[in-house]
Amino acid sequence: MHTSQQNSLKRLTNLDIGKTAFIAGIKGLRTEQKDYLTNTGFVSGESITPILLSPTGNCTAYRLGGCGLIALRDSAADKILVTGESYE
Amino acid sequence: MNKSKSESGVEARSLYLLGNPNVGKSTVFNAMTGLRQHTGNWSGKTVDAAYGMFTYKKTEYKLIDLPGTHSVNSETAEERTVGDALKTQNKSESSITLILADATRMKRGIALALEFLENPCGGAVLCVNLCDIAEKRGLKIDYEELSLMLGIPVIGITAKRKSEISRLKEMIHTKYEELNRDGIRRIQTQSPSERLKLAEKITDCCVTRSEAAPTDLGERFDRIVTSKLVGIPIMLIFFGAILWLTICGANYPSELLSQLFANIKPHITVFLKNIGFPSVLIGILCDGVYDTVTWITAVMLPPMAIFFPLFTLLEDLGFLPRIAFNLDGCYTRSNMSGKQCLTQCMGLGCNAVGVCGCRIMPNESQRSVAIITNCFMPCNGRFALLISMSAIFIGSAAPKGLSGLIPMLCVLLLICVAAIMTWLVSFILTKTLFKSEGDVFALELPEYRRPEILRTLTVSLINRTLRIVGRALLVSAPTGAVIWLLANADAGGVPLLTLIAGFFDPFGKFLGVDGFIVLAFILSLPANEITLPILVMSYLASGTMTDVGGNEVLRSVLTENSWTIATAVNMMLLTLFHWPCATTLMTIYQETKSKKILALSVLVPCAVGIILCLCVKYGFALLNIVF
Repeated sequence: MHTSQQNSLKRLTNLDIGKTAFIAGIKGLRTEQKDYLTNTGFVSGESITPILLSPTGNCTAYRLGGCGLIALRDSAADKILVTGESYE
Repeated sequence: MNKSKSESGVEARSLYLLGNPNVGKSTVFNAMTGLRQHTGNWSGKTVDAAYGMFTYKKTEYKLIDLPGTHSVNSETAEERTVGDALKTQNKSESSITLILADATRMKRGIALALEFLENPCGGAVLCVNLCDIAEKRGLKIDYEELSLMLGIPVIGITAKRKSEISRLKEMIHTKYEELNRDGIRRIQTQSPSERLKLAEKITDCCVTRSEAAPTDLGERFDRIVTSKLVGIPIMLIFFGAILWLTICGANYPSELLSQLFANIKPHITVFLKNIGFPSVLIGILCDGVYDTVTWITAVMLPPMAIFFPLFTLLEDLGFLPRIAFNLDGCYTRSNMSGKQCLTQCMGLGCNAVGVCGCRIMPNESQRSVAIITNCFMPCNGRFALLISMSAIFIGSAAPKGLSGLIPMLCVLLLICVAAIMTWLVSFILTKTLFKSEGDVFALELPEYRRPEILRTLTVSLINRTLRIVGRALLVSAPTGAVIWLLANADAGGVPLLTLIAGFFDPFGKFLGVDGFIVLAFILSLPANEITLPILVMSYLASGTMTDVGGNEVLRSVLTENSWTIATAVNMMLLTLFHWPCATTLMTIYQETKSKKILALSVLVPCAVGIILCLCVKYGFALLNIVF
């Protein structure tokens, strides 16, 4: 686990655009769904930054690990907990 | 093991190609085997595991391309084949897995290598691709250090350069024996996050950035293209521009070809007469087969030959996932993954390809729904028909200067209708027959890559052109012959064709069209390109066309057969919503092995078509009463 000044956990959906945080865990999903996210790159300790918002709805594109954009719906992002935010 | 053995009797050496999406696996595959597999720039484009052979220094190699995957153990249908393939690897002869990584995203590639190394089967080589881009960004990779830490050989290449591919082949060739002799070191990690930490450590050791990250043009473009205000309008304008280029660009070649074929025809007729062909045969060949085939070549081919390369460039750029991202709200509301957008885009090229592409859908029920609704999107052949229709009937009513604009708007509107119906029908299907729970899916937005314009244009032009011409000859030739026969054989003074069309006429009129149109759709089951030629030839009951491709003549033929705007609109709606073509039907059955889904892929579009036609028919009737 990353130690950082800000240890408070918040939901990924509450992370503002442009702010970087680190993934702390995934709560509230079935095991297969959790595994899917992990295998896609949403792993504890990975840095994550919301970059783009979809114009039609509840979908955000995140930069994972400093490289590459992956889009996730808010219904799933809601279950990802992050910590240690800072400006990019 | 004998290096220089080349006779049959020695099995080919197996090479598995493994890697994350978008690392250029297909480029490597094509370069090594000399094949021309098209590579679009978005996750999940290559869905089939493809095999290819090549020979290097007199040794045969079998290269197996595994679909792009995030990890060795996974979810979707595409990702499952990787796990399967790697598992069977153990049973077969010794082999090497080529792990492909993106030099600009080393951590992901290293993580994949680590995952492979937990359960290594056979030997492995880590191949780092896109080194030219990494260099431009000031990234430096220490290959020796990386090789030491992972315990496998590492090579950095730029796959699009031929010399580098030879280097890769050389390394594989020489290392093959060593690898199989020495075995591979296992690297144990407990969990994905541990693996990631290790990957991060290794990346920090081996990859250095020599300057600050450059301003990201791609990201700025993305911000504009996905903005709330202008994002979707920009997409529409973009697409409209492509359509407009297609329409205007195809006009001149179409006219030329029509003229050419019309000029040649009398010579052929005379020639055949002179060598003593019976007049029936001349009729079949010249008026049936020749007219149909040349029509398709003159009228249908130019728009296809222009649209497809343009669209391919768009794909290569990496733009399509952004479209899916922008429209995601609509897909959420119809209980589908945004990936359905990608399958629809594939369907715009060819519905059979779109159906195959539905493997990227995250679960079986969504996949079924995506397959059933895929043919709502007009494939290339139907595109050409829609463009012709709207140019003939609606465009010619417009002033000369706008003559390209009106058909473009028509087609754009129809595609929007198709998209809306897809969402609606998907919604209904997922709530009734194909219930699926809310699922979690991620969509990757790959980096923009500069498409190789010249190469793409030539490859897709040639591929597409050859394929269309081939299919035209194969399918339309016999159909043209059949139509001519039906039009010229009669029973009691009435051509058979008219009788058959008359049989369908009540149903046709009910739909706001006529029997000939219904017949044309039925007869164009083999390929949608031939609908219009069949229709026009049927109208001219003598079974011959006086002037191939002339818009004004076509318009008068149609008006003489009591076409109105309503008829044209309904015909275009039916073009969008009717049963899939034969190739697509076969593909659907192959992909699903389900008679239920096959039946639904026929019934659902027809039902939608019928309902929409009735709405239009009564809508127009209402307007007539009111005004």
